[in-house]
Amino acid sequence: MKIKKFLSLIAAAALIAGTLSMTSCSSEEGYNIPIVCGESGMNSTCGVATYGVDYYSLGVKAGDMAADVLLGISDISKMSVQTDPNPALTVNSAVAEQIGITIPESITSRATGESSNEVTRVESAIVESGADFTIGILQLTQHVALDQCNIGFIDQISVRMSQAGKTVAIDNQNASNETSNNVTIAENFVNKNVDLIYTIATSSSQAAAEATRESKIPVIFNAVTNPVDAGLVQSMEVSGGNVCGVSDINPVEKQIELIAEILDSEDITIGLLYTSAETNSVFQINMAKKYCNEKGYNFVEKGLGDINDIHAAFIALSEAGVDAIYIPTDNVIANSCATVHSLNIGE
Amino acid sequence: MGNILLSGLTQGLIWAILALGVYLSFRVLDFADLTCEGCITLGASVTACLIYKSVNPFLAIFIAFLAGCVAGLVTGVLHTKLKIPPILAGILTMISLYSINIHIMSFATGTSGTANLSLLKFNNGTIYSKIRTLLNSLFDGGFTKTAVSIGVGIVSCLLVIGALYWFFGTELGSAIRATGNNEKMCRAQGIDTDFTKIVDLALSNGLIALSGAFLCQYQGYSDVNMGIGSIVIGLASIIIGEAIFSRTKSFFLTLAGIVVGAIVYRLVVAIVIWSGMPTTDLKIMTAIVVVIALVLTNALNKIKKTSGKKSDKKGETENV
Repeated sequence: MKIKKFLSLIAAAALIAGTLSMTSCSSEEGYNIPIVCGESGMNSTCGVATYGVDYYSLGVKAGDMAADVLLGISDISKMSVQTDPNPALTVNSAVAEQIGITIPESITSRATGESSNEVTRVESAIVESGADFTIGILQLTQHVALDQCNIGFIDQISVRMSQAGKTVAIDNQNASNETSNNVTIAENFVNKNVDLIYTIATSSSQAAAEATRESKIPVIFNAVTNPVDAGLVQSMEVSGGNVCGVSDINPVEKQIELIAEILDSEDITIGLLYTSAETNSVFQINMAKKYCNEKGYNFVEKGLGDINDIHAAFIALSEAGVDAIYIPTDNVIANSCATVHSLNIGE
Repeated sequence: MGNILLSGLTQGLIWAILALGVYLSFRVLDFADLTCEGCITLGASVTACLIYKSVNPFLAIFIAFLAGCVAGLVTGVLHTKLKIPPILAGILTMISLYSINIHIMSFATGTSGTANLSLLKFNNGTIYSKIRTLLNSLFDGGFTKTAVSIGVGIVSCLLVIGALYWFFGTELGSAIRATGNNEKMCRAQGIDTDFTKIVDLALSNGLIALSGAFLCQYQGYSDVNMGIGSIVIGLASIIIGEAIFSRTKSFFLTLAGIVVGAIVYRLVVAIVIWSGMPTTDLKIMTAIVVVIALVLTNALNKIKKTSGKKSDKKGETENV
């Protein structure tokens, strides 16, 4: 009995000591490392500044590609996958102030917060029947971002068509998040022999790619993060078939460049923080590493098993002497942005 | 118009196998089994993964069927041995399958967290292209993808119906049907109803996975969310089939009716999409069609009851 009591006493003491050491740890000064995140939502909690993807501009970009294909300006099999041409720059001055850095004037002056590249739709270019071209639109589900892809596309295609003196008929379909409908809609477009199919989201694009295997009707996709792994294109540079389009990957390279701009130096070390179990994060981190190598920036990567590793990762990164941290669009870290922030500023 | 009907027919034949699977749990056993939504994706993921690893597609489809049987077995054990209510047992297996399916697809690509597996680059490995190449080399070409898909669909549906008709005529099959009709009476006859239930659920989910195996090859990908709404398609197909063949007492015709029901359901969706009505109305339109089918079944049954009492007696003996 006595031994048991003694053991439990030791356990309790250890527990108290552990808690004390942890509290003393978290009441430290903090690391105050500027963080740049993959998307604007995370940026608003823990980042200092970032570029955010604007789905409307993605739609406009896709509209341009479709117009190029329809008007015979470019060959779809030789096109390359596009990304957001004009991501919106947002600055989080509150966080910047907390960690004690000043964002250069050159960045704050460019920050819009919202993109201002709205295209005015030319209604006269869109007709019900007797059009020069027919476009079938296949959207996976009703969703704010995907709807923006849809609207931007129609706006831009109408502008391009009216410029070329042509008209277009648009068959706008939504699979309502049922895979079986994806196939039916895609096959319907093929049977109607539309001139081009515009698909929004990965599985819709795959269904259209499979349905157009024989007819080779051009397919322009949008909102696909990794079109190569999705089997849609041969590479990001050359589509190599009848399918090409726009990826909604966040502008990793621009975001890394932003770090250099914030630090106002070329000789920097960037900490890359992500969850190693997330395919999309790994994909983005690989892009970031490639860009860092090109530019000659140093980097230290820290993959998290889960969010509980965040404390250890921060210690490791600060010991490695990183000047800034880059966090990609990562679901696990996105859910714990507040933790990352309080850890960083030492609250 | 003709082409969109062919498209509906092709997909209908694939979904018919799922509908037959749902029939085995929903009608034969009176067990509302939600495993279906995860199980169709399981079949698709297993097949896609194996084709990724260059396994013969026929073998891949068979393994997918077995994987579905295991999923059904789990639901069955959860229900019969652990006494979990049918709907909850199904839901538990369904949500577990979500994680399992991602693991299976991750195994194929080697990167964890893969939620979508594309077969677009592995087109030559699918059963459709294999059969098409074979037929074209035997008969000097001329077989389109649609023709091959319809052929594969018809043959697979006939095989499944034939196998089910034979199986439910055997002692075990009859015991399963009896379990669905009157469980207490069955136990009084010395039938292990837990066993019959598990066998039926395993078979049911095996067929659902089989449908997923064909589906992923036909649409060119497997996606972790592809099962959404599949149980509705299965139930709707059964009910439409029963409405069309409401007068039959023959088990064979009932099964054939479900296949017809699945085809009709996909045709309706195809026509709704083809007609170009607002896409937001797609779901409500399909719902209305199912309601009409239900009302029709009830109305026909009423007519039958009032007019054909004599022929009823003769039929019932054949039905059980």
